[in-house]
Amino acid sequence: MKKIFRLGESEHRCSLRQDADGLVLDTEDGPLRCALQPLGAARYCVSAGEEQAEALIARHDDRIWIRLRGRTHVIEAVDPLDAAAAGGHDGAAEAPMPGTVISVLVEPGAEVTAGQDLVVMESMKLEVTIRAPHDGRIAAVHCAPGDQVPLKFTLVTFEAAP
Amino acid sequence: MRRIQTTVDPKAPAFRDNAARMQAVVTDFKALQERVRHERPQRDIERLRRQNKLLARERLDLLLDPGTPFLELSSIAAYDQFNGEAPGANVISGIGVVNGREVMIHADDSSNKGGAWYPLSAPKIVRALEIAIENRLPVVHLCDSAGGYLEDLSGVYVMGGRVFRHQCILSKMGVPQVAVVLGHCTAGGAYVPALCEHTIMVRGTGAVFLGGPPLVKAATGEEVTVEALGGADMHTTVSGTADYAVDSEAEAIARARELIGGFSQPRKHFDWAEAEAPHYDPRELYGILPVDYKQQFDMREVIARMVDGSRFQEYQPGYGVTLVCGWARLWGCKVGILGNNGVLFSDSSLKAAHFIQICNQLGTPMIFLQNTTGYMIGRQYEEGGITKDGAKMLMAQAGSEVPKFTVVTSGAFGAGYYGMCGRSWDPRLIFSWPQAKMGVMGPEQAGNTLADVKLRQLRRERPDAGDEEVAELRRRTHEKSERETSALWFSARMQDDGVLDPLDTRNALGIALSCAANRPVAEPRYGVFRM
Repeated sequence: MKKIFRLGESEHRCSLRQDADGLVLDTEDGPLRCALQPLGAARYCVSAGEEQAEALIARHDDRIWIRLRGRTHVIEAVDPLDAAAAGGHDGAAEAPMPGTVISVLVEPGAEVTAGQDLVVMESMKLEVTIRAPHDGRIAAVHCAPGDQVPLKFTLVTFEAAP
Repeated sequence: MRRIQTTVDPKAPAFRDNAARMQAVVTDFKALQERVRHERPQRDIERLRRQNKLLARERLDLLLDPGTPFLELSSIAAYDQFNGEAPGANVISGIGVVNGREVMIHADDSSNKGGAWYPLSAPKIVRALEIAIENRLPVVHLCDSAGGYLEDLSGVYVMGGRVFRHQCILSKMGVPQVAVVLGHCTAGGAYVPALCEHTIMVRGTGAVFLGGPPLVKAATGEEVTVEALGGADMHTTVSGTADYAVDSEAEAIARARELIGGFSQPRKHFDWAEAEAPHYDPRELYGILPVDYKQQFDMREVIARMVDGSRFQEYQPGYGVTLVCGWARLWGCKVGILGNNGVLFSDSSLKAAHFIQICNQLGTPMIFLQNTTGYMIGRQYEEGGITKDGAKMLMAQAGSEVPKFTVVTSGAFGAGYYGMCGRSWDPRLIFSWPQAKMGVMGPEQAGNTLADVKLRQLRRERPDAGDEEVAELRRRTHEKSERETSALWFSARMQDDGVLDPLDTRNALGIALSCAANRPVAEPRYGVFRM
């Protein structure tokens, strides 16, 4: 399986394998023989193809910082599931239960962040707060306090993401 | 597995308000638990000291491995009953580690009423033995009880017999038991040591007999001392009822530890990996949980503060959204989690039934996180088959063979409590959080219904009853239903296995899973699902 890495604005697909002579990085442009030799205290000797250099490498979660020839590069592993989770930003907030709207906490045009309270409803003895599913700007509010709304009623819509 | 992305803001006023109120509830509960565990009449403590006896909790300190957790069960049992004469039902029970081996402990607490068995004592021991049977846990009995509570012997009699029955079942399964006789085991109580594979008796204070000296004298006129009738030396050299006679409690407990160290370690089942602490701070649970059960919260935020690395693989995230289902690891053990995010609809019930079957297919234990006001009502939902879909959830529960564990996190009402593996649905262990509320109906509904019935009664009997009297009746009825739907009320009557600080829940479930792993999972077999 090729992994996806983000370096600056560009994405690269590559995978690493080992053969009898050492490590081979399979890139989109073909195989590249490479090696990584630890020199202690985050310092490494990196070689790829004909080139060789000393680098400082630090890692935190899915991010790697590489200081190489006077410049710092940030490499980030890209998970397709993350990209999927971040998409779909023109959704709406729906009523999770049929019930009565108690209060509306946002107005059209308001900028909200994911998790922010939008509408409070009551149903089946429960007070339910409907929160913003993602960051965005409110396009319209379709309910008012006292309204009886059915299941999956669209309470608040968002402006389409730019 | 992917990390849950939190949307909780610990700086928000609502979060801080919840956290302060929850902290107060937990502090009150811990103070209550401390009183039930340690507050004893001075003369009882002095009596035990005179007899060269240790307090039950001091015995536990000698028995348990240092630095290991002890999961105490039903710690506040009976605290508000029997005039406070039986705190903890005069019994301590729990799962602990002795000489490297997980065991169930039953310790009579003689620091109150001589450790007499009150009507809730036998059920507490029976429940401990039931857990030992289900999880193949060896049992240590620390026996020191005055016997059945004389004022209510009928309340002790039938359930008491079940203690001995469960002991026989454990033996039949090949799960060993050790009895340490530290006081008198009289009448039925004599069978506890007699039914153990290993029995240790302390000279002078320990005794085992069907009838003590006064009863013998009354029945046959024979005069005999305690030592001669049922003392340690007699039973270990003449009758063979016990195996080891020792000179002190410390020696007795050391002997028990040595014996338990010789028990073989069970093979652990299920899927285990290296454990990982939750990524999000579990202390944030206090700010997430509203003290008022009527306010909804996202169960994912609770899961994120309980499971390894806060990682959760959600199943059907877009279907039946009022029930969150998915897989995670807890202390390294792969588990399936079902958590309420609102009222149960037909789709959420079907999702539950399906998910339960998948967990059984994979042999994955399940954790139910309850916060439910029940199944949705109304014409549209009845026409949609809400009742038969709830029935499917129950049918899947009953056919399930994987171990189930339940935590009542906030509200547990109506049939939702059954569908989400309430006590009657055989969870291996079920705990409640201290602010939780549960019952057939919500406290307001129960209070109103009962008050209406009582008011009609009052008006019939005394038509001249004044407004003040009516208001007073209403107030008292509401107070009653408020009190009797509290987690503390339920736990005091042993309708669960104990109240837990939310912060202790991850560890408690870890112990529970480790114990459950002692038994292989059988093949599931289901009844008829009404389609």
